[in-house]
Amino acid sequence: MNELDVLDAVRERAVGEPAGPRRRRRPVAVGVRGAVLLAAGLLAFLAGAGGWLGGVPSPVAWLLALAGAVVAYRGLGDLLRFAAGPRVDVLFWVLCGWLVLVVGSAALAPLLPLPDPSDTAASLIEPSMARPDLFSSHPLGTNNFGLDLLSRVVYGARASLTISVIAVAVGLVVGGTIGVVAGYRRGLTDRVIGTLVNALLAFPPLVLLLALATNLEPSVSTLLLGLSILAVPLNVRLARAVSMQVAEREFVEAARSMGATHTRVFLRELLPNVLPSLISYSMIVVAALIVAEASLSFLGLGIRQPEPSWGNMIAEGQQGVFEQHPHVVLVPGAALFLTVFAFNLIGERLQSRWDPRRSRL
Amino acid sequence: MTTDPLVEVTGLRTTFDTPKGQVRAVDGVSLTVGRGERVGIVGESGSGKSVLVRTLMNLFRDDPLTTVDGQVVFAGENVREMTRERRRHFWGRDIAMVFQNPMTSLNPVKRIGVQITDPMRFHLGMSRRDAREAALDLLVRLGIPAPRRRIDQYPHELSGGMRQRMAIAVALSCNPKLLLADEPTTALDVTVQKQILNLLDRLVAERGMSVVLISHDLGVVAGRTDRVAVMYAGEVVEMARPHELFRVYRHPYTRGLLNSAPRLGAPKHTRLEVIGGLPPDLAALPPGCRFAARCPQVQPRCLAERPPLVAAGPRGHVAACHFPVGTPAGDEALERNRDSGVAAVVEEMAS
Repeated sequence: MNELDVLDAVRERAVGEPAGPRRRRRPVAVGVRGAVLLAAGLLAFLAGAGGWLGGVPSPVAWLLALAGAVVAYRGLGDLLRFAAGPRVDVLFWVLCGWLVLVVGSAALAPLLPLPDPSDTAASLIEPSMARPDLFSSHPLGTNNFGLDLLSRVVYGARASLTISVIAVAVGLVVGGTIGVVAGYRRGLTDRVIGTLVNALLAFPPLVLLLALATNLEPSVSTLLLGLSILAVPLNVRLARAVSMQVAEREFVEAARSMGATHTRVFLRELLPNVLPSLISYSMIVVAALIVAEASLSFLGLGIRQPEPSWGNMIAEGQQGVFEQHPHVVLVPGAALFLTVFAFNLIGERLQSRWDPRRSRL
Repeated sequence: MTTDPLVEVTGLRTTFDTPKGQVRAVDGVSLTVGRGERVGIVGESGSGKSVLVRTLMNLFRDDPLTTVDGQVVFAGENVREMTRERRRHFWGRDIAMVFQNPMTSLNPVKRIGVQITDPMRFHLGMSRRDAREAALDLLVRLGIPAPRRRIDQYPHELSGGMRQRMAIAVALSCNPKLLLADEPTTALDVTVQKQILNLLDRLVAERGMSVVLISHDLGVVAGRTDRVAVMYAGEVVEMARPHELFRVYRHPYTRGLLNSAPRLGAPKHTRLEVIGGLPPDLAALPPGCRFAARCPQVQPRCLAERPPLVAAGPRGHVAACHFPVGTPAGDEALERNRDSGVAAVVEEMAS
């Protein structure tokens, strides 16, 4: 045993975990096990969900698909641990991967070899209500009009994400600015802003959106307007609370006493301290707005058929279609669920990392 | 030190509107600070020390709940009548402040270098590169090891003493004429305290700056100032050169403060003397002397009549007491109270 080994051994006993570069060698066995589990899990999932067992979906097939997904997830976890060490946050990275996949394919949708998502004339020759089959030309199946579901999910993501992200950006910029001003100026400004924001927050969001969608023309811009109106007060409230906390710290007074103008204090002292909280919160707001957009489109007040949106795709399952052809609902439903889950979880992780209450500086 | 005053404060009064009523945090303070003079202000928590220097800087001008009366003249200019343009460069370039807690007085998300160079670029119009050079120079003189590395670090990467040095660097960045140090070492370790104070001393002497050093610790102020003002309940109750103040104090409160400091030379288990009672409620001040309720030599006159600040010794020694300590009147008052008790005085007043 040389000196380094002794030190590592001491540290390992004291801290209870392997330490030092010498002990970082990852067991290859974990990697191999991960790869095998992943492959087996995917295979089982495909077998179960892909309709290989033929014809009508049986409970056995669903169970097989579920078990396959779990096993594949475990395998992926092993692979990640093999690649990045034992303390890696598997769920976080898996969901990050999912978001990259969704955002990437949505951004590159026109470049991908996908059939047209909304041209029902071109899809006349395609089979309608085809079951998902990874080895056919419609991997996720088709809908009533023979439109490819994979293509529709990707273009639906494009619509949902663009609308939600723009609305959140508007909320962040407008709401954040108003909130920080209210939190810094206090007094009358704060009271006026606070009253308006509380009034907006007290209004049921879906009722507000429905009112807007029915009074104005249901269109992408109406949708954007409505969702922005939802996002602004949320950001105002958070920005106000955080900037009030920050403004009480001595460095703001110190900056003032060094001759900084209010604008300067606002831009250079407050904003950089408030921004991390706002950005991590925005992830959660994006999730909420994706759901809001999907709800409106489901009700036919958002994006309208045949243009795809996750909401109106799920709506295609109404009137008994779901019972006959569950994939029509499950495919966009799963995409919606995973994306919202991913935004929520990532936002939460960022929030706990950037929590202003934890940085006692 | 010259006698030419840099700052002249006359009858300064700062009142805060609170739900409890009007709190008179600073109540009629007059004070001058000469060019190159170092003035110490001592007093217990809540005696108005910090509020006094903030009022002196006119930092409360935007606060609707604060009313300020009296005059502050800085180098012949009325501070409270400065235009917005003038005030912008008054703060930072003419006057600057070092704050008590270096943990909160630096912005956690900005690099140290940016925080030091920002005022230089804003007030002195220096280029980014020149300001950085000047900041490095300042850090070297503040005795910071590896300044080239430190300047690009964030506050949380530095120790408390190091951070306070950085806060001093920020305050000194534009070479102000007057430096206000509001308990600059209270949040620090005792060993670091002395380093920081000596450093501050040296830098101030090098630049011939005037200083107002606030502390609740007489030991901090003793060797480092040319004049010490003792504050109590928003008033200056005694002011003298430190040597004189420590030997021939006139105000009973000064005596209380001095006696309540623990001494290294004292025998073991010596009982620490304290000033009994609490300072008066600043929202409901008594008509007479504010220290009367805690004073061992209080007399009926003290409860009725507020003592003015009058000459009490050589070289500008002033004190606000009807029965100053060490004078025949004061000794007699103390003697009388020893015989009949302080309670008798209060009873006499009531009847």
